[in-house]
Amino acid sequence: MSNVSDSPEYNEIEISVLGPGIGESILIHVCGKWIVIDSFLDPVSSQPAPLQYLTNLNINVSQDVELVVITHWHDDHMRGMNSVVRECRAAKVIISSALSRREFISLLPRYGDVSGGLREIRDVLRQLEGDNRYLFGIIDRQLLSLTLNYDNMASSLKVFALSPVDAGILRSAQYFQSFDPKLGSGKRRLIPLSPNNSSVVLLITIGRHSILLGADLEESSDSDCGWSVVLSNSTVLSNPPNLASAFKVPHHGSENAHCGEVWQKILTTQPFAVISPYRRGRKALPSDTDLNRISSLTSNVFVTSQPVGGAARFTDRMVANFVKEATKGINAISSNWGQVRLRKKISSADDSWEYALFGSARQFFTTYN
Amino acid sequence: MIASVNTGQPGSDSSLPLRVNTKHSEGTLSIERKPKKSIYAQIGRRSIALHNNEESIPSKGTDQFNEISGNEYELLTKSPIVKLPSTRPVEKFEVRQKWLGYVEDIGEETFTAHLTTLKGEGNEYTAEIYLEQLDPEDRELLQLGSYFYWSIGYLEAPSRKHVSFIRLRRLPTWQRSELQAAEAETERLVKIFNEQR
Repeated sequence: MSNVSDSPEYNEIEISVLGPGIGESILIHVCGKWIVIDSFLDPVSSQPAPLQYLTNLNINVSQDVELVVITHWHDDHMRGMNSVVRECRAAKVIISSALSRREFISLLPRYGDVSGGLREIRDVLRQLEGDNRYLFGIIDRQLLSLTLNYDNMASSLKVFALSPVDAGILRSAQYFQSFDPKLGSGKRRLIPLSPNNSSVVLLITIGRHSILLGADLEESSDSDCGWSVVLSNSTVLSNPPNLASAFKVPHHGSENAHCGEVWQKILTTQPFAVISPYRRGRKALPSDTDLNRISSLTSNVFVTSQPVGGAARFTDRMVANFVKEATKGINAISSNWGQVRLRKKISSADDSWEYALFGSARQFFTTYN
Repeated sequence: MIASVNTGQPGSDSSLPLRVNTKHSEGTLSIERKPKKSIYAQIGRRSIALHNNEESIPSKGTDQFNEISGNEYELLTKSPIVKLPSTRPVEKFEVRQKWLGYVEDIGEETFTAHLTTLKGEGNEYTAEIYLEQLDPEDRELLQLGSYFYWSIGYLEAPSRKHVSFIRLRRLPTWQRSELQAAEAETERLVKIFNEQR
């Protein structure tokens, strides 16, 4: 029986997607090296979940993490990221190129005190002052290349950014500029709205295996941005590596982030698709419709925790009555988080993955035909 | 300065002059007590909560504190609390549930908010709250990113009442010097990251 504390073997690829009710982090292992993508805090320990996981595996995070990727600045991907960057001190840090723009940087001293995601980015940038270990992610940039030696064989690990695209960076800059506070205006938290054009999508190749991590990139009504533009403009994808057999579904499985071409052109016929949930008010992702759409495309669909939590319940009757009267709906954000772990040998010729589910992670059983 | 203080029962317009020492040495101070609400002072355009134990910023070291730690905490506690003598019995408010919330979306009849529990059950919630729960003056202040407190409990004067009230935080406004400092920090960060590239 699988145990969450079992380390991957040296010659094994691991993809672990961690997620509570709101939040996401991904870890990739190969040949003793790790990549950390985004972060959230364990609700119980208040520690960054990816660091907690690696520590439980007795990984020396100060040496063995090669890459830390900040896909974008939203709270649900950023909590604890400053600690991750500080602890993983040998890692190169990848930040979306959209966040290198003056329009974004100007938000940091203005909103960093009251907006969690921006506070993390601000503190990361301050930490990286005088430290050249960061790189901006933009379409087709190679972020990492390593030679892998295992079992008397050699192979390679390559990590490419597939986004943001140029127009996405400009749209993001215009959006960031709209938050410039005016003299005399009240201080407040900055609330991000869709579409998210600044996300860093990653394509990772390890030997013959490819992994596509969709971050929160959405398909856009803007003809210059979104998944379709990535597919038509990426030179990495025009000279395609092998099709990806593992897919972190973008933007919590939302309809807005769905692009049929991705499934047709970049993924294998039965990819292992992993979704982390999200909830704002009554809107929960993925919805049943989203799950049915995704499961019509592959029979291997996993979620890191329950996508739709029940209505909040209060044992204090007075509190319950007032809440019922004051709200149209109220939901507890799940503090239980789960982990979807996929593993396979680097030398495997199979597109399939051995999966293990921990905590609140579930496989979605499907309408796949 | 001399201030006019309304110390009567809700709805009363009785008032008495009061000498107070605050950092706000200019402007008119008016104080209002609302039914089932805390007391506010209005100094110029600034509204200040005056009330007693209704206000509870989380203590350092607690999970709730960690959630809003750092400068955010400082910002939330910046609004000065002015203690004034009262001519009426002090109302005791026993909090059973209290959240710190922020507004994520505003609709026609509801607003969507993220709630972090400061006292009571649970940790974090996402809620759609009816706009009618807000005072008209708070509704005018409502915008994306606004912070508020939602308190539910017992009010002990003159008889025990169940109360629930939502009150928007009056966070400080942007001052010219703060915007200039923010701009200087922006210049510094932009320069550093352009040069390092």
